[in-house]
Amino acid sequence: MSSKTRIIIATTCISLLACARAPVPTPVPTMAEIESAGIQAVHAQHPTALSALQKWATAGYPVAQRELAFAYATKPETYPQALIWLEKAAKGGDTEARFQLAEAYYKGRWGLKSDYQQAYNWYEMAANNKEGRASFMLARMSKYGQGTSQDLATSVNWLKTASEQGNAQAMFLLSNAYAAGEGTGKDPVLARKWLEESAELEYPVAIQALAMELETGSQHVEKDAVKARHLIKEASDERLMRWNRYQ
Amino acid sequence: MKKFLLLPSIAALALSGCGSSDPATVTPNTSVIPVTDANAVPEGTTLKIALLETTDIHQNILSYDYYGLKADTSLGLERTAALISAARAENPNNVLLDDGDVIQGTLLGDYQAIASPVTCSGTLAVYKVMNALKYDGAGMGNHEFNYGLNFLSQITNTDFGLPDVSKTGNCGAPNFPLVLSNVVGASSQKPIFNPTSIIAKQFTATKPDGNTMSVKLNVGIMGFVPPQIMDWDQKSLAGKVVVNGLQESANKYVPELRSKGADLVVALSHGGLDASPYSPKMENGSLHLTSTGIDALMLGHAHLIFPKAKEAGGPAIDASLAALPAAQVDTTKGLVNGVPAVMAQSWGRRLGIIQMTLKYQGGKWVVQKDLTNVEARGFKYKDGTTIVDADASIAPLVDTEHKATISYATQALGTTTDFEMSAYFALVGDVSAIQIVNQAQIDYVKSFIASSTDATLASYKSIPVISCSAPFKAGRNGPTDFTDVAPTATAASPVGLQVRNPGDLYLYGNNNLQAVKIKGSDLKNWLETAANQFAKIDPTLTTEQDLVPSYSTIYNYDVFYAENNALKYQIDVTQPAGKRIVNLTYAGKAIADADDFIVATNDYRAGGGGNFPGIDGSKTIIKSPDANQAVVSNYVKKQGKITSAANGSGQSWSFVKVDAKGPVILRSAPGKMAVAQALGLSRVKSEGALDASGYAKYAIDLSK
Repeated sequence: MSSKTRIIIATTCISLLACARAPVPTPVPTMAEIESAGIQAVHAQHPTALSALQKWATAGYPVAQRELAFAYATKPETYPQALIWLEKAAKGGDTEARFQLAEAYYKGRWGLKSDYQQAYNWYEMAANNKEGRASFMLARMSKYGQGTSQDLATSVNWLKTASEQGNAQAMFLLSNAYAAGEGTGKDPVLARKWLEESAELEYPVAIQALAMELETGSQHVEKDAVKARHLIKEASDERLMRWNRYQ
Repeated sequence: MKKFLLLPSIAALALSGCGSSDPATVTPNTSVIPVTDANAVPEGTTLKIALLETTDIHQNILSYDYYGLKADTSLGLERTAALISAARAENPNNVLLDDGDVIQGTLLGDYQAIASPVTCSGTLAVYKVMNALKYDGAGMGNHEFNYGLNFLSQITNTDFGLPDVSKTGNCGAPNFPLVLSNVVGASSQKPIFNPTSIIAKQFTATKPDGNTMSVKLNVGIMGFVPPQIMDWDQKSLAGKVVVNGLQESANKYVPELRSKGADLVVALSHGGLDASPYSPKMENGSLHLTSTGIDALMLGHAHLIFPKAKEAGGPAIDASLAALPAAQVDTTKGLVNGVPAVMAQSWGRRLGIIQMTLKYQGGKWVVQKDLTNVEARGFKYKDGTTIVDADASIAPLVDTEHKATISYATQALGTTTDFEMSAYFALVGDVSAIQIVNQAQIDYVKSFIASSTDATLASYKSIPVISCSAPFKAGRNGPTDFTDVAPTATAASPVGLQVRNPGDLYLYGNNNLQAVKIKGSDLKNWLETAANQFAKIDPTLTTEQDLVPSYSTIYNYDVFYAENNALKYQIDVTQPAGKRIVNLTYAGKAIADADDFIVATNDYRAGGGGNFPGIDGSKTIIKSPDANQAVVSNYVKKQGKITSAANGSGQSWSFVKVDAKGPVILRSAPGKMAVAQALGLSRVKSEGALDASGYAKYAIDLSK
């Protein structure tokens, strides 16, 4: 969500619509205003919010173009418009748009056929904007030669980038790589560091790994049955929030 | 419930405030006789108050673990109640608030929402306790939406004003105000709960002359949930409600609360602290509420302790909080951009206490910021070691519900077993506690694919679905720590399983079912990694050799199974790691590297847990919101009866025969030779001496 809006819009002819509740197009919308309209457009199909997004999108705001794309993506019949606006937003520099466009190409969403080459390009554009999920996907694509040449060392480098960008899933796999010395030098200290950071950022696999270690104790931790039980209980509480959060 | 608790006295208080003796506000017109109201608050009067917070109680009323069916003194509202009493004694002018995630989280919660839903005439057990504890107000959490809008409407006795949600009558509910400011109806755009409430408190203040007087303080509250509830509870919320941004909602309601006479405004924000730039979509946006004019911030959702625990030997500040910019967040004093803030961890483990001093200045109460104290007080607050006793008045309030939950856990599942399901010999071929898990997982994944509308998934219909699961409980925590369900079951006298038994068969309640699509080569690598649990056995040695040198990571011993035991493999423990899997066949044919398989497993393994080659999330084709434990439970229930022949004797793997010169041993629970014999496991020869930890050393004959 760190995209910077640089396009200057025409300040004329944006009419104010009278509506007390929904966002209306104002001459210079803030990002929060645009995203608030996006929330209303996606979840309530709010006509005023939708028309505001259309005006802002037409005026060239990438965030508005992305939010408008999300609104169109709620119905299969408007997938084509969704893709047009998402690509405009992605080209305009919006990080989330770049990432979602890459996802659509990778997973064949929104009526697109899976296209690893396009996916790789857009993930890379998003990764350049410090999007950890995109960097993580580049690690995956490099590991398996999807849209790029297969190279384990490159893959682990992308894991390192994604981890530095705060991606908990990448941190866990980076921990595995350091522990086994796969694609990088073996380093038990860094393996430990990234496992703990991944759990700290709530990656369920890392939480469970730490909990199971605490059940018996290990070279790294003293046995702590209460802490282990609390971690698993916590993960059980939050199971339904995390089941679909990762790549 | 839809009206503000705006009492007539608020207007009176506001007027009396205006008519105070503040020289700056008294009109110079001498023809007006000065008001001499005995109840007027003199300028300079001070009022010490404490805002108390609980959060993320998650249905932990008693200090009890419903899965282990035993006491758990580390949590529970019955102990928080003791913290509340103590804090109230210390701070007579107090306001007790809850920050949400109350109704879900323990078996008791599921029992009252799903198994035996509380009726309109009843009150949810946890709300009964909160009523008894005289809460002053509460916000909502994301988990309040887990059981659907109809249930939430009933248990809170709130008409959401939504077209598809039934209107409630006069149902049992909290008798304190519930607020939620940022969730509105999709069509109506009206808040589904009261967005705000004003709590009128009668407090004792100290006048400048040192005498005390009774004063009214209007505490305005607002509530916020993370916008992500639209994803987490999409099924029940999509198209019905919209979640607006925290800041936008607060900017609307803070001025409204002030204009309605709130002396203090407290945000009940069910979210943590995230210092990234504001977006109305952020999950933990509470920090951005500090710019909206609030006086205090109640935090939750992240289950963390904020500020840093004060008790001796208490935990360090969580790394995610420590990483926040110090210029914005003071983790010792509990200030966020200067606004006092507290997060009382979860499960009743802590009580948040914000002590504030207000001074009557210029006809209104003004917070004396340098006199604020914030604490997240835990069970061991007195000396760092002694756990506070439970408040004895709490348990009797929910005795019926507590007992009903326990009898629910132990009630009949409706399925019998004619065999003992144990893990004593899981490392030498027994699958009596594993096969049923694999069968349940295969059944689930096959129906998932069969009923999928996704074109890609549907194209996988002809790929064999296999499954793996591990002996989670097989000696890791000592010689008694083994799965053993229905130990007395025989063909002649089957045993009825209990509701809780699936939890014994599938230990980890946090796991979600997932499936991966892999090649034959991946399967072989997977099995090789699992086989690393075995030592390399030297058949020429005459000294004793441990077949399994350590149980510490035995959860990584995945046992595979296909329907009708169509998948078979052998492990040659004389070979080095990576070269042990032989005779790997499916339906009688050797498995080729390029063959396709779908493996039903859990999110831990599918996401890279245990570092199995190529199993790193990239091959996951099904992510289910359903827990493996529930999948097992539903499958076992559906069977009516399970038998050794159909569900316990499908031994998919064995050892390549080895004639070892010396003894090869397996450490397991003592006294279980009869179990091995009943299983027909002839490779378990005899029970030997106990080792220093109390495990019996069973002699294993690898030539069998």
